[in-house]
Amino acid sequence: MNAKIAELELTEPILHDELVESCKRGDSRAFGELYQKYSKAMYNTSLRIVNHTGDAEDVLQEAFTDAFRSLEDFHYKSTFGAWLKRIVINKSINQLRKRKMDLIDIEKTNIGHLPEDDTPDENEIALRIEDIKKAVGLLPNGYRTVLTLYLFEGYDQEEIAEILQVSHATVRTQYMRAKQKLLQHLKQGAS
Amino acid sequence: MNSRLEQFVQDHREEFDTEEPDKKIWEKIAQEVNPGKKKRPPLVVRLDWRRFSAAAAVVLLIAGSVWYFGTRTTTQPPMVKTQTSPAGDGGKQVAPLAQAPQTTKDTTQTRSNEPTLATIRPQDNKEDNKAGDLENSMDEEMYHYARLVEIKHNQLKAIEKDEPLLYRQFASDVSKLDSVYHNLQSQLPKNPNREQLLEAMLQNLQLQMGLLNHQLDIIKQINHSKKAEYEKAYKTT
Repeated sequence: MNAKIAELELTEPILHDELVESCKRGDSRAFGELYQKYSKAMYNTSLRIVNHTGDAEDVLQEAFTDAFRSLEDFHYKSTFGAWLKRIVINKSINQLRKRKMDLIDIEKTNIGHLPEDDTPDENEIALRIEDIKKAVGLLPNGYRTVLTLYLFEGYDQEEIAEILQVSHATVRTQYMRAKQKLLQHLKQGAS
Repeated sequence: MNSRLEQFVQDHREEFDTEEPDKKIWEKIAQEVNPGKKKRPPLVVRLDWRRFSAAAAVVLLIAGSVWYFGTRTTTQPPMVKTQTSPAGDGGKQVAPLAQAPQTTKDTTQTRSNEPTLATIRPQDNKEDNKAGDLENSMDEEMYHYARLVEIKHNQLKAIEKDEPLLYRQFASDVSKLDSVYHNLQSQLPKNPNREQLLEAMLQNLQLQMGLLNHQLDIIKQINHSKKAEYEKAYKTT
């Protein structure tokens, strides 16, 4: 899945984005267009992590403001979308941390709540977009962050470990537990 | 690791992005990313400036001139230098060349000190900094001049009612220069010799300002003689 998302981002020419260049030259209309182009995706990305519309809107506003102000530091090392998304994700995680939810706490408190044999069989669960969205929203913050970064944003586990400043092993176990919990919610929702 | 769930999300990824952000957010961003700090073409500046109060214009003018003298330090005689770098060693005389790098370093530092983005910043800043700095300082100098031209232009506009013919004549003189400026500006994206072009644009703005100054002087004289005439007429009646 990572390959596919990377591919999606590469459909835009990575070396020269006319809209971004217009913004760099100070064209105020280009800022508006850039916002129109990316705001919805960025808002949904943030919302999945912070799980709170007000917070996600704050993140969106701050991220775009910061990005527009530091456009001269964007050198096409990635696409503009990928660069912006990293800003959005970092800000979303900071927002969560402000609410004093720590990844490690969740790891501790949830041990024992999920016996291994309780894993529902993926193939028996009906997958629907609305149900999945709802179930993601029910996950504890730490699980939800790891799960959305991997499942929706297409980062690999190494990248997630770097973003969250935790070990690769932590990311792996958290993702497995998060997915397990998500499937349980889906199963409960269906039955 | 590519299980059914992951495959499903991958296949329907776009459909998960259904929520819409509040429309007001863009207004807030647009306000915060105020064009004031950006390099913009003078025409756009003119439109936006009408909305600002005179007070804001004065504040920005002062900020502009503070900046102007700040960046001039690399080319101006040492006298200005000691003024703008109070952090230096008191009254100690420093050779111009020795101090110049310090001031440029300061500006790059403040620029790269922006919070929160530090970790995701691309690494290739260094090589661009030197050329970028020169260009930035030129851009900002140009913006400063564009602003002055704008303010003088508005002053000139004040005579439009009283002396429409004169105003039209003056305005067409300025607009000739202005169109040359825009011509230069349109070449900027594709021209390889940016520095020369920017220099030319800057000179053009300086010419515009000189012309406007002249025109304003003429108006002042006209007003003066008019006033004298009026007073004379008033006295005789």
